This record gives sequence, structure tokens and C-alpha cells, in this order.
Amino acid sequence: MRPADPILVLDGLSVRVGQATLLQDVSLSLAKGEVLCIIGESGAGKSTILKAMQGLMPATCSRFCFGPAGIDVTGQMPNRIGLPRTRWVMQDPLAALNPRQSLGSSIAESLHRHRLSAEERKDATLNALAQAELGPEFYDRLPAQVSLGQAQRACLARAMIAQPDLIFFDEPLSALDALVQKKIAYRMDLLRNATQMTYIVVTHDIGFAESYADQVLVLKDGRVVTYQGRVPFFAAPQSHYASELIAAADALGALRRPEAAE
Amino acid sequence: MNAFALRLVGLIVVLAGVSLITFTLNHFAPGDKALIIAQARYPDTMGLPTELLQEIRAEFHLDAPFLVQYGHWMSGILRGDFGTSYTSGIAVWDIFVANLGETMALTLSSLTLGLFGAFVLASLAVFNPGTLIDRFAVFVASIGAAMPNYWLALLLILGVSVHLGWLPAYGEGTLAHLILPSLTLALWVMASQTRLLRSFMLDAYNQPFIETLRLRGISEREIFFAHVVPHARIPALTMIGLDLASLLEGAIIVELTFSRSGLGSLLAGSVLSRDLPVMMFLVMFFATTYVVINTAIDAIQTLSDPRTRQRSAA
Amino acid sequence: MSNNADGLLKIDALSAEISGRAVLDDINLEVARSEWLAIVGGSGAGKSTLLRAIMGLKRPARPTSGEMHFEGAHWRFSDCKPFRPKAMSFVPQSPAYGFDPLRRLHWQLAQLARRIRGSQQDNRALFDTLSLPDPAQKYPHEWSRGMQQRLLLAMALMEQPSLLILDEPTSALDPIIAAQVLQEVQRIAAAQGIAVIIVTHDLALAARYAHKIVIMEHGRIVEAGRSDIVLTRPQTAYARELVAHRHWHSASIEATHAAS
Repeated sequence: MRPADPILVLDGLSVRVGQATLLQDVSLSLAKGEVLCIIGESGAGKSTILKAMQGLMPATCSRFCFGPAGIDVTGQMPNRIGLPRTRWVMQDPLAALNPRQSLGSSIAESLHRHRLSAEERKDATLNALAQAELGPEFYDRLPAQVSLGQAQRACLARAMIAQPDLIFFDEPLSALDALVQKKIAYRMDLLRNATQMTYIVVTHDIGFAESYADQVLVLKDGRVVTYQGRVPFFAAPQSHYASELIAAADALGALRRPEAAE
Repeated sequence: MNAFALRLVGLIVVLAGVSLITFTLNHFAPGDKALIIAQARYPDTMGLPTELLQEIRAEFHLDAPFLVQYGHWMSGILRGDFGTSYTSGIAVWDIFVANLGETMALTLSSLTLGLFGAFVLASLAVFNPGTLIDRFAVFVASIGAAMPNYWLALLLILGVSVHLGWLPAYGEGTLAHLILPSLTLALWVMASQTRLLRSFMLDAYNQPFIETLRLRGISEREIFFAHVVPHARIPALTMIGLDLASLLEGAIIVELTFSRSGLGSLLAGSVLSRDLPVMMFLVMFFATTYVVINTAIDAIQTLSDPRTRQRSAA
Repeated sequence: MSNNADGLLKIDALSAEISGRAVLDDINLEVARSEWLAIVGGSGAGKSTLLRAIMGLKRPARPTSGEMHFEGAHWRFSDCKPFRPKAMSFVPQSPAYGFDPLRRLHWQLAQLARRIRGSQQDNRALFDTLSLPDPAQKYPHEWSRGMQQRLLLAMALMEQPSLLILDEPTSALDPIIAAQVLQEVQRIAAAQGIAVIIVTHDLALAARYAHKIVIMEHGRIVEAGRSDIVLTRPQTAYARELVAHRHWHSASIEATHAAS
């Protein structure tokens, strides 16, 4: 699974903390505009992959290459730099937003590197809000004054406004209601289509992967047990564990099959 | 086991540091130590002969270099010889043992009393959230925390002893003598623990499984005693440990106010009469107690949660 | 809804408030024996408040009116005393919601057994059906989450319920565990004729399991009926939206977006 012109290549990523091996030999590569879903149960090491790429964990790799930031290293992963040209969206929007800062100013903060007048900055922020389906009235609201879904939309707007090449989503929907999840997922997809950004989405929702992923990577106990394109993943999953996951999602009604009439 | 050994090493390092600091401060304190000892031994003599002072200096190694003196002192401590008092000539250990009982009685009784009061008050507050009882508990706690020990002690003497004449104002020996001093410290313990216990209990109530217990039909009484109290106990232990250490400090003031003997008044007396061996021993004792109590509390806390217990054993 | 001869649970005109603010408004429900009912709604719709009221709790929401019939017994919700309907039991959404981490599992089982009294039946058969070992001296965290959740189900079944309530069975659990538990419930409920109420925010899940669906919004029931009818002919705007968005990226999402 190697795209012809990858924007991101990660080979042989391992993370050890003390005696424990959190990740072992994880490899992936992504082309511009692709969506990778990382799936696994809690504690499988899903978020650790994101943290390692951001330099937040002591990690080694045989190669890590991220073109837009001019990074191409071998051996040690870059440490504590925060990966340039990327943004994060976290699981809990209320933890990710400053409770005393309005949504507008939280979002505008992402523009601090761009030299913009106050007016341009506000226009860009309103535009980003609109892209996340939030009206201008949300500009001055505090996180506590909006619903959880709206707060997560604001986080999406904040990630988008800096026009990064890659966004890391760490369980972006799991704190939300099913209805809100689906609306935001659809909105995420529209924005990706419009901007050709690349997404890495950590999730435990196979249904999301079925609709939006280009590639699916399944982790179990820190190892990759399955790494496939979406279509082959659902048609013929590489591992027994992956087929269990698909069966479970089906049993929960999360897949796009007709409902069992009872 | 590894973590425990590490803690033990830490304890020794802290105590070595304390001993060095204590000794240094005393060593460089102004005044001629030989003169102090001589005056204490011969209180009626006006002009002390120089030969006597020389003799005393030789006896106590006062002319030796700093490190040699420290070495003498430390080797004594390690052999269990804590020196003799400058003023009375009695072994420091004997003086300490004679005074320990009073202070233990005072601190332990006030801790028990104060914790019991705090537990009752906090439970009442938690059972009746937002009501007058709740506010009253917080009010009492704030007042108690804001009131200094010596002032509270004086108020109690004035009210209970002078006006009502119920209890003796000072002295020691009977249970009646213990009540007021113990109450002074107990009120302080109660004040500092009530608010903490209350919030620890509320935290315990906010855990998700509590609601399930209610839905299973478990009584509020059982939920409180079998689940909330054990959960609140874990963080409360740390705070109680800190309080126990501060209680020793409070004992100094309370013992002086009520003219009781004990380690507190002994320490104050030794400072005033510049009885350095006694003073240094007591400082070392208080420091050791503080460190040991907190280490013990840390260990107990780790052991009371099965999740951390197994992690630390692994 | 017709007057069902097979009726197990019936709730009439339940309303409840928290310090003067209405949180449940005129709730009417019926569940027949062996029937699966899903209560669907977003966060804050009043699902958990309704669940607590049915199980007899008076706090934090205080019922102001309404009646409940269950297994031949009858309660008025406005009576001050909390009640605990027998033969109605509850499976919490995840082990964190079900176990005190400081207590050994067998202690927690014994606590429940003490409460149920009478039913001193042997739990071994029950544990065997759920392929659970004897918890013995174990603490909750020493078991896998899947085993813990199955034990929670076993504890609910120890009460020999005729109605089992599943609270958000998918939101805090990994899908494999959630699916496993739901399938166990399906198997056992069918074998023993137990009725099930699933409380969930996920209409797709509800549609997969429930015979009847009730949709809640702002403390009210806005839509109720047989699952197939709710899914094919939703009456209210909110129900239509839920139906349209029940799948990830369904054609209907695109249709609604194309229209707007």
C-alpha cells in the first residue's frame, strides 16, 4: 500500500517507554487528500501513533518523511517540535478550548503566524466558522455557551483556518451524539474535498471508516494487524481481528446494510 | 519493593540534610557556649574563672573544627547517645522520654477528637447539600481555620475556666487538665479537615458507579459507609498526615499557654536557656517524625487502592 | 397504542422537574412481555431522567405526576417515597459505571445478593451461560473490560428480571464488547421471555434491535411507534432528521444537503 506520490511516509515506528513497548514496527504512507483511519480498542496504541509523529513521545523509526514540513529523518523521530503544517482535533472539545476565550478568538489565534490586519483576521475567522456550519453569532460565544457538537465544530474551524496539509483527529466524534457525529463527519469530508487536506483519524467507529476512509489501519496491542485500502478491508479483511471488528460494527447497526427487520 | 527502598534512601538523605542544617545553625549562633554551660552549672557564681571555661571547652570539644564537632555529634546520635543537657546535666534522651507522654496524649486525643468532629460535620453537610446545615459546616470550618491557636486557647480559658469555673485553666496530671488544651487543637484539626473531607466525599459521590448502586436499590446508608467513606479516605489520609505534623507545632503554643510540660514547652524552654543539645535533638525529632509520618502515609495511600497497590508491587 | 393483554410496563402521564424546571413532560410508554423498546434521543433529551424515574429514584429529578403499572404492581410517581420495582434491573453503560474499584468482585456480588434476598439461587448456571469464571478474590481492574461488562449483565440477571434496561450499551464500550453483550442479551432475553429497554442516542442501533422506538427531545416524547414505521414514515422534523442521519454518509444526508 504505497501511494505513488506520498505526502507522508512512516516506516518502522516503535515506541518504548521503560520496559513497555507501546508501538512496534508501525508503517504507513499517505497521498495528498487521503483519509487514514486508525482503529483499535482502548489502549491499543492508536493515539500513541499521533503523539509519536508530533514528537511528543520518545520514538524510533527507520524513516519518517513529511514533505510539506521538509522533514525526512531516519533513526530517532524528531522530538518535541510539534509537526509543522499540521493541526490536531481532540476528542473532548471542552478540554481543547480555553473556557475563558471566545470561540472567535480561539480560532483566530491559529493565524498568529500569518501577517494579517485585524479585519482580515476576523473575516478569515468568520469564514472558517461558516465552513464548520457555525454562524457569525458564534464568534463571541464562550465554549460553555454552546453545545458539545458546536464546540467540536469550532475546533474543526480552528484546525482548518491555518490551512494545514495534514490534520490529526483523535477520536473526534466519540464524545458526541450519533446525530451530531454524522453531521460533523459529513462536514469534515466536504472540507477535505474542497481543500485536499490529508486526514489521519483515530476512531473506534468502523462505520465512519466504511464511509470516509481511503485506508484502514487496525492496531492491537501496539502492533499493526491489518493495513488495507477501504474496499479490500471490508471485502476481505487481512486479519481475524479485523473481521471481528467488522462483524461487531454490523451487529451494532453501524454499517450501511439494510436493517434486519424484526 | 523497589519503590519502598527508594523511599527509605530518600528518608535518610532528608534526615542527613536536616541534621547538617540544624547543627550549622547552632554552631554559628552567637555567644560563648562554654559560658552558657558554666552559668547553668554554677548559677550562683558571679565571675567564672577562665580555667573552668577551658575545662568545659575541652569536655564538649568546643575548640575542635566544625566538621569534627559535627562528626562527634552525629556519631553520638548513631550510637544512640544524644548528649547531655547543658543546663541540667541530665541525658537528653531521659528528658525527652519524660516529656513525650504528655505531648502524645495531647496530640493523639486532639487528633481523634478533631477528626471525629470533622467527619460528623462533613457527613452532615454532604447529606444535606445546599441547606443551612451545609453552610453552617463550611462556616464553622472557615472560622476555625481563621482563628489562631493561642487566641482560641485564651478564649477557652476565659470562658470555661474563669467565668464558668468548670475546668482548670492550667497545669497537668488529670484528665480534666487535658480537656481544654486538647479541645483547642481538636477545633483546629476539625476546622482544617471538615472542608477537605466534605469535598473528598462529594468527589466520591460523583463517581459514576454510585448512581448504579442507587439503581440497584442499595440504601443511601450503605452507599455512604461502604463506598463513599472508603473512597474519601484515600485523599484524606494525606491531609491528615500533614495535620499530624502541624499538630506537633501547635502543641508548642498550646503547652506554653496552658503551662503544661511536654515536648513543645521543652523546646521553647531549651531555646530560651540556649540548651543546645536538647534543642537540636528536638528539632531532629520533629523533622524525623514529619518525614516518617508522610512516608508512611504515602505508603498506606498506595496500599489502600488495589489498582495502585498492584502497580507498585509489580 | 392498544391496551395490550400482554402488557408488562405501562407509564401514564409522567412529568418531573428539577427545582421548578420541567425535565420530563407527559411521558406515556408501554412495554409488552419479551418486547424490545428503544428510547432514543440526544444528550439532555431526558433519557436518563426517564430511566431513573422508572426505577423509582426521586433525585435529582422529582416526579410531579404520573402513574406506573409494572408486573401487576402500581405506583404513583408523585408519592414521596422512592420505590424499587422488583423484577426490573439495569445494566450500566460500562464497568466504570458498574463497579466500585476498591471492592473485590465477590463482595459486590454479595452486596447485590443481600439486597435481593429471597433469591438464593445458585449463580453458577448463570455464570456458565455467560462463560464467566468465578470472580473469587479478584478486583474489577484484574478482569478484562469485556468480562467485567458480562459480569454486570450477570448481576442484572441475578434479579430474575422480567424487564432489563440497557443504558447506552455502545457509547463507552469497544464495539466488540458492546456487540457481544447485546447478542448475549438477545439470546437470554429470548430464552427467558425478558423485555428489554435500550436507552441510546444511536437510532441505527435502536433500529437493529428494538420492536418499538420512542424518540425524545427536550423531555418530551416526539415520536413513538413500531420501528419500521418510525424509520419509514417519521412524523416530526426531529425524527425525520434522526432517520436521515442514522447512517454514516447515507444518500439521505446528501439529499438534505443538496436541498439546503
